Amino acid sequence: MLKESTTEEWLAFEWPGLYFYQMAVPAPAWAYGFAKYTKGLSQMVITHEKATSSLYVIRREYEEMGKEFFPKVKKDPASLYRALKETHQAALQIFKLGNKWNFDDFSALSDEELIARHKELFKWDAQLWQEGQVQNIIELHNSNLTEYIREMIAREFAKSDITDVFGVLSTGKYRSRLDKQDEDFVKLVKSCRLLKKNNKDFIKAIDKHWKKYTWMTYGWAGPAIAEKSFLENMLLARKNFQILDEIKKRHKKKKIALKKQRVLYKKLKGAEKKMAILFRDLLDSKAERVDAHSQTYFLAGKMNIEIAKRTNLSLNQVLTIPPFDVPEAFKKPKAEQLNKEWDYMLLWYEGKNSPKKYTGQAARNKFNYVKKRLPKIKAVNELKGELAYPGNVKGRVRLILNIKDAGKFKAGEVLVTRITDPSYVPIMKKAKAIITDIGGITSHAAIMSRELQRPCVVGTRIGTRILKTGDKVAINAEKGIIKKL
Amino acid sequence: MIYTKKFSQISKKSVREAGGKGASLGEMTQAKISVPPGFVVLAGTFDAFIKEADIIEDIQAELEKVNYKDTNSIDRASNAIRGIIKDTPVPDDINDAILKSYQDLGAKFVAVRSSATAEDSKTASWAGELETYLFVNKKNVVETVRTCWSSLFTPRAIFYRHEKKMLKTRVSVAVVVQKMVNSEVSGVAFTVHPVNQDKNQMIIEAGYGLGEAIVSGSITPDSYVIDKEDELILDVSIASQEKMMIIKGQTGGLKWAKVPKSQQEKQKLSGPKIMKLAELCAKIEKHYKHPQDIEWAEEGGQIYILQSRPITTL
Repeated sequence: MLKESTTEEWLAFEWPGLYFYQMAVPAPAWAYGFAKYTKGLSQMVITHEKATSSLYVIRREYEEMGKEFFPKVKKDPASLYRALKETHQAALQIFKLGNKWNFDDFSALSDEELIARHKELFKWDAQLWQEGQVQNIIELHNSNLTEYIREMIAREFAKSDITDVFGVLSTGKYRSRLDKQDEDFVKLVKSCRLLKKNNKDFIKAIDKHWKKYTWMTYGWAGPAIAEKSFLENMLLARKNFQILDEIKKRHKKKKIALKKQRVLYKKLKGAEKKMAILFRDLLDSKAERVDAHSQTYFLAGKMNIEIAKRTNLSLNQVLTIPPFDVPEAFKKPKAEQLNKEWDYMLLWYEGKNSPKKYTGQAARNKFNYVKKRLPKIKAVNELKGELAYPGNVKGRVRLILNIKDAGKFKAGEVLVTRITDPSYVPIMKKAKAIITDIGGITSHAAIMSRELQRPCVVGTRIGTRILKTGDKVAINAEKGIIKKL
Repeated sequence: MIYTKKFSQISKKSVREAGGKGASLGEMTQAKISVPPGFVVLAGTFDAFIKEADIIEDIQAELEKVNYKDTNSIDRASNAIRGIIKDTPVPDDINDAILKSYQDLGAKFVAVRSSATAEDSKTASWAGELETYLFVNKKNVVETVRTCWSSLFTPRAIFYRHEKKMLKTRVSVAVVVQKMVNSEVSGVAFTVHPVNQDKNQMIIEAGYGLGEAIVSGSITPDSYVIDKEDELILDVSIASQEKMMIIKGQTGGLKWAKVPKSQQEKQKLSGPKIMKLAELCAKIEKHYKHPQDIEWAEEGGQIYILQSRPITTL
């Protein structure tokens, strides 16, 4: 461990709503996996407190990884593409499992079958998470690739076109579940136009649609979308043509952007072209990973309920068990230990060693070391982050630190949050603009804002600590600047 | 004549002979809800007592002397009548019947409560429904039953009956005698989440020792949230507990004791026990067809339901 006298700054990544059974899966990729591509991290700290998981690293080391890795990627993107391929394969396997199991009655499975399914799901989940982390070296907190793309645009294109070109280059080719749902929804509304609400075919069609898309905004902890909600949307869309028009408009805009993208690619040469395509492929990979996570946790949600029932552990206790420990917990549930871990737990990774685990006061004492080294936040009136989707808007802030408070969000407010996951989509749709603490151009918030075409600034780092509900802000998403008014 | 009946011989139709509380305990026993075992000294026993001891007229005479505009006068009559009842020996056959039932129960300490025979709750409150004596033992059980009988003549009860012009009406009272549970763990349960009012969620609170400490709010209990539909525990929230209320040795009464250090941070009820209790509480709710506020206690691995009341604030 570092000597107490060194006061190197650490970086904090906090994910409210991420349970430990989820955090435990990508953790090894950070602690050990990054070292396959770079010098890696000498130490890393993970904390878990109730439903918030956080990760802490030494800032210098983390930023150096980006600087070390990006030139390698530029020279030969193959190592990154290999990771993208593995991520994609894991996602496909998870979607397959979903098609097979989404509507199975898990309570009817024997213990052995349940554990076997759990193991199968988390085998792919581990691959999905771990291979999906590699791109973070250059795109989470670090933004080596984005900066490269920006500089390239500045070099190659007229100043007035910069925002537009960036928008075109960051348009994803991947068709997300939400996107597909929109398209199917338009078709469904049309095909059922003449059917009454209680018509058998109508009910059947809604049911089919619901089964296909119920999990699409599940995120880390759900809930899935109720069938009733699809029905309501549908009845609404029948009356209000604007809803379908907006979807069509969005699709059209995306189509045009993709067309422009192809033209731009033709103009670019060599490394620039390769990097521009890699940039889009990273975004697509992340978008697919987000969908696959929703599918994973939709299934895991059902499994966790069954595990809790059969072990007589509480659901929250089960959500604290790393997936690979589940078979053992089935045999010997350790409620007392899990209570402590649910309350507060700290894992200290150092080098290649397994992490040391602390709970309770010992964990808090350990954390003080990190806490002292986190950047102090100064009161400022201006925030800066990464442009995710352009726009110039003013509005009132609504701070959402926990998705359970989504009900408080009113249409037209500016969403300020640490990070988003698919369960935030309903309020993202209502938001005038979106501001996040964590994440770069490949973050969920960035991907979704482009899909929903909402002005969005990501990675402000301290947005949630500076802005409060009710604050009036002016957002210049082009420049990634938020001003408190 | 039958002076006492076990809970298992009583049902909700027994209000006249067993009183409201007695009938409810009988009802729960018959529904296989594990209330601590006990028996009821029937209302007829009280009637037999005043008849055999021939004190009806003495009581009536005291009541006639009362000036109802003067509270002191009501207090004086109450004292006099309760004095008469206290000084009147319980006839042998009644005495023996109560002691026999007590012996059959096989409990060291019992709780003795009056149980009003009127069917409406207002009448119940004047009849001293809440008159409760804890840690009663063999030596004073009969005497305590007699004290409960006299609860018919508290100043409040006398005044109420005057107001309702019921002084001449025959009134009676039953007495519930129930095993006192010397609980290792106890607590309360709400079959509907009291905060978010979610009907699919139940809250169980649990602490070491006797439930009095939780009910009075002097300790913070563990809190468990249960999903009723999925029949699973959603959350377990541990409260560290340093002291607990226990029964004071031979004499009865309550005292604080230290919780051993190794136990303080522990989950008070294990997962399987939480689910067993939740099942029981769901059964009670279903039985009464209304959300319930339940007091429970565990002694020697056996869970007892001490009380179940409808939640009226929903």
